[in-house]
Amino acid sequence: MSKYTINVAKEFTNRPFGRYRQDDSKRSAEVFREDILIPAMQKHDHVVVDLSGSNYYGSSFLEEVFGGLVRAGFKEDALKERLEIIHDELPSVVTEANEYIKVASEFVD
Amino acid sequence: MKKLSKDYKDRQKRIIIDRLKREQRNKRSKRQIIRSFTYQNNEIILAPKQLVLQKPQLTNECTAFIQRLSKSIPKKKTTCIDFSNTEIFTALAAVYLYSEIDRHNAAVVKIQNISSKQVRNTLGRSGLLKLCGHSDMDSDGYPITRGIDDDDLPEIIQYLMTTASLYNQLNPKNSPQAERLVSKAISEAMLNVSQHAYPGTDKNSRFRWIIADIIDSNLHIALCDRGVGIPKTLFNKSWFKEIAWTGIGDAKAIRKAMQYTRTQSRRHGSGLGSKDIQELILEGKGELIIISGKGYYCLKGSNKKEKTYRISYDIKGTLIQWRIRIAEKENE
Repeated sequence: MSKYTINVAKEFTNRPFGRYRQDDSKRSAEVFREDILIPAMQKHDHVVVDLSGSNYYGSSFLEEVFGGLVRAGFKEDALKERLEIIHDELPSVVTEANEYIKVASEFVD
Repeated sequence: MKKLSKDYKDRQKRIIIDRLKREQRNKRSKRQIIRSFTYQNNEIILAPKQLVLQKPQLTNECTAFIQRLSKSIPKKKTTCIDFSNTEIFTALAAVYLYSEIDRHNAAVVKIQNISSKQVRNTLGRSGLLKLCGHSDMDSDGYPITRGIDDDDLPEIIQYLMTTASLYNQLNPKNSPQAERLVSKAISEAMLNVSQHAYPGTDKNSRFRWIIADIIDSNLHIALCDRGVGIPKTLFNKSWFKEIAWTGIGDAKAIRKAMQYTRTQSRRHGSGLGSKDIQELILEGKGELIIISGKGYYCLKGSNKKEKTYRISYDIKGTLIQWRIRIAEKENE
């Protein structure tokens, strides 16, 4: 089983901002999800999204990344097995991100 | 010559008296709001006694003053703001005034006759003196900056986290949590400006102004944009049309949206930015003020009580202020 870790602060940005590529910025959630996270999910069996190294995660960003995964077609059960979200200083961010997956699944189903 | 009838004379007398009363009323109302003097295409505008936006009873006078400036600056050779009468000048009013001068032409604006120490302090710390070409003051506050998106957010957060005792207020051992709470509130407010405040305009013109300062053991963060205002953007949203009628008024529209986003933001992730904006003062037991269009909204963090007021003059944009009580500095 292939495992892959993405450190958002080092590989993407330590200042994520906004939801959408077009309106917001290159640091937006859509850019991260479409250009980095989904390709990793397609290529690897297990992906770890390490949010450590930044405390700048707005709710809009987290919801668009992780809730957006569900809206992009990933099922909640599959994400529970294949996706792991971690942050070494802020467990509340991890809880929040997982909550967005759960809520998005309720509205997609 | 035909004699005028008594009725005709009485009627004419009544018309003249009514006209004089009307003229006096108009003069009185103008005198109460704004005083200004014009000579040779230069204008001196007297700033109000209290330049305070936080108190609804003073908001009208403050916004009327700013509107007077907005008419004067583009047309006059010099617009001079006279502070001889001003006793109090708050950070929120400062950022609004700064945005007005900055978006027109600061080169034609001068400041004169500062009589109050508190006013001089605010003018210096906010950067208004420097903006209008006067000598700079040493300041340990974070002066007003104009920006786009979140380009100066790290500097603001660094100032707040290193100089304020915010972590003491929220949780002595939880500085990363405090940093996130503050950064996401400000970041989401900046994102709202970028996404909603200036529809149809180029991204590089979507300016917002921000100030952060510690005054009397209170942390004040104020953000200002000169876009279309929250009420106008709300009435274009389908989810808002479901919960409010079009004649609701600006202040109640803002409150409705705040209440909705506190309780219903799970649905498709909408309204999470507003939730973050409110969370800072709900966690920190502070006060949030939003003034937009003709609406004034205040939320107290300690008891979640909300107040709304209708103001007479359109703010033409949005002002948001967070005020959070911080721990007193220990004596060295």
